[in-house]
Amino acid sequence: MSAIAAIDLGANSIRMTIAEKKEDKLKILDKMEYPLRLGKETFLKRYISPEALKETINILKVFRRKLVEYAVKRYRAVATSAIRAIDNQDFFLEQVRLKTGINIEIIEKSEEERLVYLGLALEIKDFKDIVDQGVTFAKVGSGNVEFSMLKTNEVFFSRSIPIGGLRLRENLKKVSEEHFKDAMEKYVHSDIKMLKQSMPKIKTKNFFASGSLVKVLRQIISPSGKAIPRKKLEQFYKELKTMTIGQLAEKYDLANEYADLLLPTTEVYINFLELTGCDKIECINVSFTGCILNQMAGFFKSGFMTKQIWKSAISIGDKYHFDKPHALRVSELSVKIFDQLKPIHNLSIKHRYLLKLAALWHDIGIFIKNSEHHKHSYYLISNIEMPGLSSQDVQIIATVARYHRRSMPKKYHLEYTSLGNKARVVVSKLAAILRLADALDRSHKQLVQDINIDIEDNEIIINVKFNEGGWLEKIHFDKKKNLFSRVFGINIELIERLK
Amino acid sequence: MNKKEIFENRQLSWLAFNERVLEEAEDKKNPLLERLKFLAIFSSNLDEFFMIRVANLRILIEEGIEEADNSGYTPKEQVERITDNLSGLISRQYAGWDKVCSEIEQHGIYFKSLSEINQDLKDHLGKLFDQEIFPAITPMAVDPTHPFPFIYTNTLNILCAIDQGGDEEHFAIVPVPGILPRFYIIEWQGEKYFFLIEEIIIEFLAKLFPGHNINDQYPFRITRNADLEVDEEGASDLLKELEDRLKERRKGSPVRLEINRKFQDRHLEKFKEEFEITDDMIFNVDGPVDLTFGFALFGELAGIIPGASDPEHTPYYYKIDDVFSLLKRQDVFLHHPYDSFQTVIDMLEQAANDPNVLAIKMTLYRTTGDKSKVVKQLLKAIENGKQVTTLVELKARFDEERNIEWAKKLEENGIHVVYGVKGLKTHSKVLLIVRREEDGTIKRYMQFGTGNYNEKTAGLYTDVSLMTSDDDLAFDISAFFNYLTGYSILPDWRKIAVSPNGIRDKLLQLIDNEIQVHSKAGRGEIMAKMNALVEPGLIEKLYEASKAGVKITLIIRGICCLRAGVKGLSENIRVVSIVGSFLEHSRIFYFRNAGDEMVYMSSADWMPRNLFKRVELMIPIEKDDLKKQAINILKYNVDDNVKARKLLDKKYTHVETPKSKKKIFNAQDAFIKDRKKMDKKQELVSKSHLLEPMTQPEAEF
Repeated sequence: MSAIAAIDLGANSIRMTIAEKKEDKLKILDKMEYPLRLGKETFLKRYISPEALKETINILKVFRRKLVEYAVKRYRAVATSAIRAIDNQDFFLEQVRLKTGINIEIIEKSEEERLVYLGLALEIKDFKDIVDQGVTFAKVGSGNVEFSMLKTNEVFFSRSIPIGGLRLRENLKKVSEEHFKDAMEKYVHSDIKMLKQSMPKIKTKNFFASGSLVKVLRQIISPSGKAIPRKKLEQFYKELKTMTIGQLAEKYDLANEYADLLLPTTEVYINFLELTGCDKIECINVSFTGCILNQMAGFFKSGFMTKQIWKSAISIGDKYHFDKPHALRVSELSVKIFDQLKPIHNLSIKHRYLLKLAALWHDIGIFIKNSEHHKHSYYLISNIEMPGLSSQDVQIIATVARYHRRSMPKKYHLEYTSLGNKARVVVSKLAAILRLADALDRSHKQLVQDINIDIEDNEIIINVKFNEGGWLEKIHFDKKKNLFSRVFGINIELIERLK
Repeated sequence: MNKKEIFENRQLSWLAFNERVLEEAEDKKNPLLERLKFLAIFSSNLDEFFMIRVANLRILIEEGIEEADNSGYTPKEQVERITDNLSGLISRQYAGWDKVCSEIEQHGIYFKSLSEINQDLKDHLGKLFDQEIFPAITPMAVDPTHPFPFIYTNTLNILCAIDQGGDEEHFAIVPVPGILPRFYIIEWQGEKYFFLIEEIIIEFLAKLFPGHNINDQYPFRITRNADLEVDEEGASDLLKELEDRLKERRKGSPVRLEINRKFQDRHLEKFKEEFEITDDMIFNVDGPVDLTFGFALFGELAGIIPGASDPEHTPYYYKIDDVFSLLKRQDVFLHHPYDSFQTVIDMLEQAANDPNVLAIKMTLYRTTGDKSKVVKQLLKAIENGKQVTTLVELKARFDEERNIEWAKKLEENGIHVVYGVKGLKTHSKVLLIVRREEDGTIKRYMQFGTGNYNEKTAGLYTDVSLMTSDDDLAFDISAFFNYLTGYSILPDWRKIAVSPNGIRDKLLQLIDNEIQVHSKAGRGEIMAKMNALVEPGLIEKLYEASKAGVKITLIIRGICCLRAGVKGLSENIRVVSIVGSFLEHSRIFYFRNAGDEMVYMSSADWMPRNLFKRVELMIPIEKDDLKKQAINILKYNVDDNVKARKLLDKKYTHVETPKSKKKIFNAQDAFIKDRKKMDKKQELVSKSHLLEPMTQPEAEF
């Protein structure tokens, strides 16, 4: 197997790791890290300047040379928070691609989180036990603070809070230095309060943190240990408050830019410890490029965390008081139809997953109002943030749900046309299947016992066994099957099988 | 203790080193022509010393800096001490020159002044002058309309005081043409005669100034400040900047005037005024100015006087059929010049031609110019479609011009050339080869050296090479190149230590560790071989270790600012210095570490400039058999009783050579003998027999 590479355009630096698979491990061959603070620009301006673009291109050209040096055939280049929210994203990506030949994909926060957890799982021994006890993971970056919790059979919760040290400094730069500490405490406190309201009411036993700032904290507070005890952190915070940046930099031999961020960072971590009831922070080193490489090398078991994610998905439905049995049945039927129609639709396992979620959530719009509820569903779903889903994924799910009833996709539907060509086809196929599945539980009574599909030359026969008279389902099936025949170019018929 | 009691001054220690060189010239046990060469080395060392060290001190004095250095000397005091010490050394050098001359005369080559020879021979020289010398000379008049011409550094000139009879006397300068040989060996009626070109010119000076009276003539040589400080921060293009600087280099202010006859007062005053020379810069020597021609004379005479020089050394050549497959199994350790540098070139050559090699990276500090085999292979690699990256250090002292030329040539051929790191000289020597193995995995092969990629010096300097394919070292070295090329921050090294700062930190840590280990388990021991020990922090750490009882042996060829064997300070430290026919240049550090011995090799001396201002590498030697080989080098050096000197306090004394021939042990000879004993057919794999005790005296180790 040839070497593989991962490139990460982060907020503070551009990194690349090159590795190869050696038995069941990654052997890291080379690592590069170029400190380029893309985030500093984009957090405030949501825009990347030509200078930053140029510098990015220069570095990526060097990285490209590296890919040749190791004869890398497979690489993945991703961008995270710094690029995710910028307005000139498309131009940026296009320019980079034209000038360097490197294709960068934007990774969603939630996907980033999931990858980091997968990385943690590889990094930490007995990770399963730790998840059983509950684990909080935090990363105080310069722009955002990532906060997430994971507990077996409970939850997977994650939030990104815009209170990174650099952002705090920027946002509060009009506040005089003497009031800064007070203002910052209040600012952080208000955001933590919002977090407290939305986070699950659980305690986690373990608290992990990564990132260069926490590494600096650990080196100062407990140079010999791996963990930072809460008490020591609080003591250090008191000391910090009495010192100027200059004194700090001198005393601990820090670069000014680190010294500058130490106070807000410490403040945030103390709040987190209080929130989760943990008594220490364990510092770990999770390299994001390493996580990507692990995924590329296929080291992540596919089932990992699916339980927690599925549980989160259901809890979202609960939040909107959905008809749970119906939602689960439609989801189940959709997947069954999807699986049996594999030769017809030619879609991937990923699309199956999107369909499963779209089916689960297709009716949540009823929470707002019954009429036009498919459009309400669309709106609600498009604002869902869930681990493992990119914003493109969420858009597809939302649009599939939007087309579970009424109008078929039309050229003047903005939500439809704004999707790419390929995504439109996917949405139509999935919506066509969802419509069939929805029809099969029209009574919301879960009358279908089993289905079995025969694919014939001119027709598809779906054989359905009902527990009791599924007449409502049969009528609706005929009403809702037209999208299917349009999309797949073949007629589909329901035949009721008796026992 | 005050500073003077803790540290020796580095300039004085350097002079002591050059004195050891001089001792080699004086040592009758050395072959005649080797002694001649040592006289030339003494001179060329001194030239560099003036151009850099003395020049810098002069600048400090001019800037009014009176602060004492680590050893407690002010710049002024240092210059005074240097001047004092030098007068004695230089007299000895010229006494040595006379001795060497008279011995050469015994072989039928005569050193005669032109006043001593007969007219026929003189006429013969006259012809030589007319035909060969005269056309190359351009005398320059100095009068009210012609100011003093610029005199380039280290060039030989003749100052002439002339007049046209009656009118005012004025000067003329006759530059001795650098394109002509400095001396001629003339065969005349079955005898050979040696004549210096300036003596011939002086004899026929009248031919240059027809119609003039020549009142006086003085050969002289001016040495100027040559320290090159490039303003890197301001330079947009380092290459361009350096080219400009080099043009200026020749114009540094004078730091030394060498003459060999007394100037008349009126001439001297005018001359001093013109060149801003003070009395303490003038060295009036008792013989020819600038004895560096001894190198060329060595070359001439080696053919004429058989057996007067060391037999030419043929290094042992390890021919490795397939370096990559060998390095997959084992590491290779070479000790140059006893082991041929060709093995390293072979590695490069195999890489350049191997279709599976993807990339080659190396540092180039000082190399043998266009004819360099290294460069040839790099160009070959490019032709064969490999990615080639070189770090060419433009700031290699005195080699800038050569390096710039090269860098351009390499770049034109498609090699990715990086010009060093801003503000830091890249002194490390490393070669990295990235290869895709047959199974598709990546394997990297490396060679680390303590010497430059320069085939010429590789035959004259003692250096070590480590060839390995260790994965952690490979990771470090890839990262090291990333860092050098400016596209990555410093990573956390797995095994290597890197200057600036890193090597010193690591050494302090290693010494501290040895102190700790010693306090627990005893038998703490440190051995280190280097060219110079200057850095005060490390010296004080060594004192600390000595006080704690750690046994320390230092093998330091050149400057040593540590005081050895001083009660209450450094009783457990002994310092040995070897000045032999090869220039001792390898740097090897050993820490006993309670039996789990740690051995390192490095491109760095323990000097502030290496530790703080250069990019240097320190590499662990980890394989047991290789460790033994490295330790063996240290032991041989310590056991030497022919070329070794011991430093006690601040004074070097020659170790006593045993009367019994059996007990005589010359380390450099021993390394050669070891290789002669080797069965040439033997595979490299079984190099371990190197480790057997040799004909050395009861080594107490």
